[in-house]
Amino acid sequence: MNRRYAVLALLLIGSALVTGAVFVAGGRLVRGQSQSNATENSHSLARINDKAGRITGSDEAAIRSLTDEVFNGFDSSQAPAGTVDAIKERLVRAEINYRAGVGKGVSEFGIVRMHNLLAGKLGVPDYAMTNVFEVRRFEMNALPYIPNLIGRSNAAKAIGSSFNATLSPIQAFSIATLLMQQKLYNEDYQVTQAEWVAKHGGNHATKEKNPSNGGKSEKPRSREIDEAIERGAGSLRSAELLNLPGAALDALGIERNEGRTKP
Amino acid sequence: MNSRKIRNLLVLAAFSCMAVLINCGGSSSNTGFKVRAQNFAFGFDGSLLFVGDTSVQAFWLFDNGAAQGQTKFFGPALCVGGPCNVSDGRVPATWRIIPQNGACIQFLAPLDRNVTAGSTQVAKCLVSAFASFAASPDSIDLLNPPATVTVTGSGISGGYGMPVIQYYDQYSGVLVASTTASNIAADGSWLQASTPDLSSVYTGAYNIVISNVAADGTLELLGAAPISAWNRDPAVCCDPPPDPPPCGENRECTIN
Repeated sequence: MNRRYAVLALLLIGSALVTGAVFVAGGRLVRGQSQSNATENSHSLARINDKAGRITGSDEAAIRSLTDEVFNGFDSSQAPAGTVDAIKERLVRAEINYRAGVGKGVSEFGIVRMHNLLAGKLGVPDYAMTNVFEVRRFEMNALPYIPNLIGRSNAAKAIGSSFNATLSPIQAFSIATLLMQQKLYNEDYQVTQAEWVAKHGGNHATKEKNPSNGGKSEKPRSREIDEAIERGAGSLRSAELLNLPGAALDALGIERNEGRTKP
Repeated sequence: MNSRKIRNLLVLAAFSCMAVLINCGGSSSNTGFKVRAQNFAFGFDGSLLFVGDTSVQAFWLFDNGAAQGQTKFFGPALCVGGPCNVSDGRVPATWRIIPQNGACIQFLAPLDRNVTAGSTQVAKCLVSAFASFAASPDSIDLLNPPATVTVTGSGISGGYGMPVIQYYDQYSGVLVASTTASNIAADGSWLQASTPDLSSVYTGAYNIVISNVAADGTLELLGAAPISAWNRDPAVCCDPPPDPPPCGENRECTIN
């Protein structure tokens, strides 16, 4: 009898930890809410572009400023202490190394991998997934607003090459998070590949890898995504939830480092 | 403490935990709702681009039936990353939800709307359309292309070499043609370039990306202009490449 009640107690303690992790680390890390009485805009593309334009060479302060601005779009105040700082530090170090010529660039496919890893873990609908064509379309659509972020490219580009095949770590992370925001808030990006093709003339082949669910939902897709994220975060084990940010950066292709800039 | 007391405590804790879990899914109040305001801009493919959150103000207009709640005014407030709660907001009622953004060209959602308890109201504002560069002509007959294309904009410079004009397929983001400007305005407001070889280009939408040449030979992206091509219907083109494989356990996916 005592053993049974001991097991029950452990299960209750475990469920409390998971609940705490979901709302402290999971739900708030992905999206959250903060309110201020300020009347200016926040996290606009213009602010990101401005900060990107201030980076010269491996200027750590300017790189950190841009990184902070990118994170402004997500309310990270509820995340476990140190989680966000660790992510930022990894990004900053990787960017410094890349600009110094000792770090690695990030493939545009890394953006797809990171986005779809998170989307898959959280069980969001098909139209919230992405592909490399969509990444490129987003970059070109955003180009007038963030030319400093998208930055420079090599002059010698072969016909058939991608718009932006290799990015710096902070470029890639910024593009990935901005695209995630489009998926969260923008109906024009809450479409599958087939739906985009149909909307834009239909003269491209597409095979739906994950066909949309039959029947049209009456709920706005933003709400469906919100609800899926809540359910998905709740279904993850606490350890998996807390490791998700690091796994996302791994999938993106951001180098791990020990905080030391490589010689 | 005997086993009966332990059992009662655990049952009480179980109910408490369940109550917390249920309550964490949201309030069951008959008043209150959530609001936020967002800025959008147009992209080249005609789609909207979310560009950021903006301040929101909301005020009650009239009841729709047996409304409850004492709050009839909210904001202005900036709600970042998620909507703000209008605690005890009077509902069901018609409210006016307004983005507080002086640069709003057009409201993309009705300002006056029927608000119900627990709903989320999002005000959307179009802040600008892309207007950085424009191509002339902006439509090319692929069987009879023009000799030159003129692009107007700003910041065009030939300091380290004539600007480069790259044609990208708007669908796939793939480079289909490239050329160099032959003439540029002294004030950087336009350039002219020979039309590149478009023999492998098919009917569709494209973006002309304009770049200055930097001192180190790299291209500084200035902006882009949409252009369409017609009169050569394609073989039906292509799916996006398959998703990249997942990385291994504890392994980064870095470019070697």
